[in-house]
Amino acid sequence: MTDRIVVVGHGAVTCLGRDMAATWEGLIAGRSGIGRHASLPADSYLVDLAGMVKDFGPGSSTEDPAVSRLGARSIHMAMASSREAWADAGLDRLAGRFDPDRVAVAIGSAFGGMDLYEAEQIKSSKRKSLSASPYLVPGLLINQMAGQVAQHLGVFGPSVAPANACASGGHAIAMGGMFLRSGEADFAVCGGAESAFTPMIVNGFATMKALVGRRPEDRSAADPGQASRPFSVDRAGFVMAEGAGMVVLARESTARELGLPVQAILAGWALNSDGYHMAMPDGSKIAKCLATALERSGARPERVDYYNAHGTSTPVNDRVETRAVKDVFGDHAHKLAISSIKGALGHGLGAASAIEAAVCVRALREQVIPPTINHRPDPELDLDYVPDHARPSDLETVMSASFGFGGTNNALILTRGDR
Amino acid sequence: MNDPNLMTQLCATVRKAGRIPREVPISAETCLVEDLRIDSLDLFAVLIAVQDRFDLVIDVEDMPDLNRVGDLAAYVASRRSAAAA
Repeated sequence: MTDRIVVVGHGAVTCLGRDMAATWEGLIAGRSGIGRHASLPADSYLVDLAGMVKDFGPGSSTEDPAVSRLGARSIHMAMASSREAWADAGLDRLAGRFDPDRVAVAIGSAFGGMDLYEAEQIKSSKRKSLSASPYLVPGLLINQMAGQVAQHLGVFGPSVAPANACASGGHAIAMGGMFLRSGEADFAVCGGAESAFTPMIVNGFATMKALVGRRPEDRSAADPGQASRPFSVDRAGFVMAEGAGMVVLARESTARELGLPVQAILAGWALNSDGYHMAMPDGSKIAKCLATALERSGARPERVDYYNAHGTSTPVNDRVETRAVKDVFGDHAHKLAISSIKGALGHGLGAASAIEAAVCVRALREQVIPPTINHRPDPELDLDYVPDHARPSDLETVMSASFGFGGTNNALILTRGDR
Repeated sequence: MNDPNLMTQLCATVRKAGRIPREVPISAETCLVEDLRIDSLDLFAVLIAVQDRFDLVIDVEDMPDLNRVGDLAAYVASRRSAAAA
């Protein structure tokens, strides 16, 4: 029997809380972490709805001194979620019992340190000769998240930083799985982190009509928590969010040898490309990605109990994704529990798929499906989206899928770790 | 350069940007590199923070002359005077 790849730790930083426990509690309670933010003023930003992590990052009371010189919030989020996942695995207490040269780090992001870049650019226009902080370039680099995590966890295996837009975190988890499967590493710390609240990026998404805008008739005008409403008839775009999600992967034999509890099995994954459009998804390629992940995991479609959707709350994504699920799962699509936690968390871009994978690990452990909040049925979208209320369930196999601009897709299959 | 307010503000700026522990004293005589052990990256960060705090421009060619906190204070004062003139 081949050595399975298992999840031994997980962590998250989201707008519902600075750790996985707070995030999970909020998700299960059906709370939204989205609000309007004074830090996104109307003279610079077209949209002020966002999912932001409170009291976190550079200059905050919870700042991580190890990365205080690096002003990119995504680095701080990657650090916090990695430290949490590492401790959750128990590896912080096992130094000397594993080879740090054989621990890989794979952390993805869409935009990396662009928040730092734009802030420095504004200051630099006044500075003239000494115009850029010496910490700008190190903080801007997308691979600095993996670099800092490797440095501060004290691990020295391969590190990579997949930049695959809103699929980055899931791609990183798949790459972690590849490092383990190829024998290049015994452990992989992998996931995604993002914080991209800059005028250029927020306004760029807004002018693409990707975001819920400032419309008085929109549900969000009265209640910002209703801005993100995946699969709803009146969905009107996504809500940008920041955060990070991380898992620690190991080969099962290594985990058992060290006595690490197995939280879930990473039973399979697939990555593919639409080859179609800069921003619009191709449902046929998404379906192909889902089907390939199922095939590689050895799970029949009818064995999947829960599909954690990309579910961005944009009119196009939710329609295309629903169709792809029907194509892949056939009759079982109508029995399959589907939810998008982006209703509560907004869209964490490059972090989103890693947060969602970490939440799937928790869902398998707790045997509860987090709901799609703010749901109002759309007659065209007729599947079971687990509306508004968490659902206790017998979860054996779950799938989490994510798709990014540029036509980049991933699907992960996770199964119960105690089997 | 005898402005105590300027020296207080400057010391606070150097301490924060250079990440100098509270217990380490900083005065006009303190050398940025030798006494405070500010490395080359943090030295740039300190000078940029001084620019931002006092709204002035430090010329790169003047940097070799800015060894002590007192040198920085005199530089800031002279730039302010030049701007006011």
